[in-house]
Amino acid sequence: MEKLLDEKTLEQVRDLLSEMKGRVRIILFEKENCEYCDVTKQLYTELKDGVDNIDLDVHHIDSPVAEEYNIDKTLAPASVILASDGSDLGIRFYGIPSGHEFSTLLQDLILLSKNGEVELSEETVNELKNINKKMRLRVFVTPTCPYCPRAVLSAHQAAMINENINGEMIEANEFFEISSKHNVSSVPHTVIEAFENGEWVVKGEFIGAYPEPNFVEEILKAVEG
Amino acid sequence: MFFDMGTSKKSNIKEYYDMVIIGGGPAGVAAGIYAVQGGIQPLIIEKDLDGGQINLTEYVENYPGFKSITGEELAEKLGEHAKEFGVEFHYGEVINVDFSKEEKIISLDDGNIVKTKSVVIATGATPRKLGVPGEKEFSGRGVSYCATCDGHFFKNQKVAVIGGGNTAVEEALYLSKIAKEVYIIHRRDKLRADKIYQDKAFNTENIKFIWNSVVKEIKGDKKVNQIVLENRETGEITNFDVDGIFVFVGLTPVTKLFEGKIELDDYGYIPVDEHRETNVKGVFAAGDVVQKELRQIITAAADGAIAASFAVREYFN
Repeated sequence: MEKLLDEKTLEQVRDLLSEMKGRVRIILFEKENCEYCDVTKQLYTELKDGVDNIDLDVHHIDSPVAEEYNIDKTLAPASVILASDGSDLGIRFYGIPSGHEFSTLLQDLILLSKNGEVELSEETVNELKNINKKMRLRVFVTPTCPYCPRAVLSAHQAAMINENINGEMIEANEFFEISSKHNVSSVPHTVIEAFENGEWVVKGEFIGAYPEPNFVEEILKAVEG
Repeated sequence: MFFDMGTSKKSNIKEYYDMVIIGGGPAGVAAGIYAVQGGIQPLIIEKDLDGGQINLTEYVENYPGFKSITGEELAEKLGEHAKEFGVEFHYGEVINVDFSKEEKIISLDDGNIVKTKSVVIATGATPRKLGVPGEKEFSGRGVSYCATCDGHFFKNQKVAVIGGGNTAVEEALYLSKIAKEVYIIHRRDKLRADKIYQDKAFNTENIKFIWNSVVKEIKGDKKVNQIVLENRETGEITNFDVDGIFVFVGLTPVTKLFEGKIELDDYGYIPVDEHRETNVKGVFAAGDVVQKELRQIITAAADGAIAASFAVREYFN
């Protein structure tokens, strides 16, 4: 099979990831008849083989392991990335992190290798830390959207700060049903959900990549709502 | 399928830089390169991706030296070039500036504060809104300003592109490969776009034209399903069914942050002198954000080079 990452790209990836402090584990959940599962597995395999510090597990999306990580079974390929100490900080990718989202993946690998040491202001960290509701930030993206990585990274960093929060990238082209359910037609589109009475309830949404203070404001508004 | 490494590398930002460049598009990158060349240390602050608006363009075919290159690739090359030259980058958004003293202060949304002797504002521009009823309500519900980002949501559907300039026609060409039908709706009876784009559009089967017409209102329920058009010649009002509407009717400069800090014109653009210096000493502006005739990659890069090389001569020698 033709490589997704040529030697030059891999060299740059190695250089960028030289910042990693510890080993990071990617867990991929796949299934049959899935358009992007094989190529996602190939991408992760090339990363694992080409870079030190990356481990890869692959499971079927119907396996008990998927239950353990509360994976949305309707969305394969799904990926979880664990921090160096093995903890699940709530980082999810539904669909392939290709295009501009590849940069989000690399950034996540670096942050998770430092056990979720985020690069946000103290104020942001403090405000997000105080949320004691179980939340899910679902960021709908397309790989060709240059504004999207920032929105995903905000959601992922919120997840790293607070164990009540999960941050998810959802590649809208791959998952038509859930995208249309949320009327996604411009990306990045962030849907904020809270877990109430045994189900996920939409509490807020916003379109675009917001600067930190506005991002926090949207989350807090949704927490209260 | 492509794999962008984009903003992955985080820098440990220092407290002081000789020059802070706000924006990492062609203007900012050129300023950075010329600053390093002049022996001073610049920092580029970029909120999204190196290359700025170039990332939104499918192909760039008018920048000398590149006969045809994708927007993504040129954007990446710009960032790479500057970094290899020694320009530092930091990814974040500037939320406040203080230009009142000789030492200027730039505050970022991630809590960082940077001091500097010179500033180049290269924040660029964003698409201008139509300002009609329904636009805000349906923004992200069928109204879009980014064909690269959102085009695929309209596969085999019927979309309208509003505008008649280069961007409108280029984006219509891009969308014509995804959507079933693309209607270019323009207020005049001919396009303002350069001839090469016009010819391409006229020769594309699923691109159609509605002339002398303006959008009065955008309607729908959950999503856009109709726009109300007014014919400027006859005054006739028609309802036109569409699944999506892409707005490319010009630009709005990204200068809100600088209101009251430097002089802006009535449209928000920054007036500059021949050295691209604003009315505040040591504060320069370059690229689309500047009051000027032609907003292109090449003129943005030229602005950046002129600003940085003058700043080096004037303030650092």
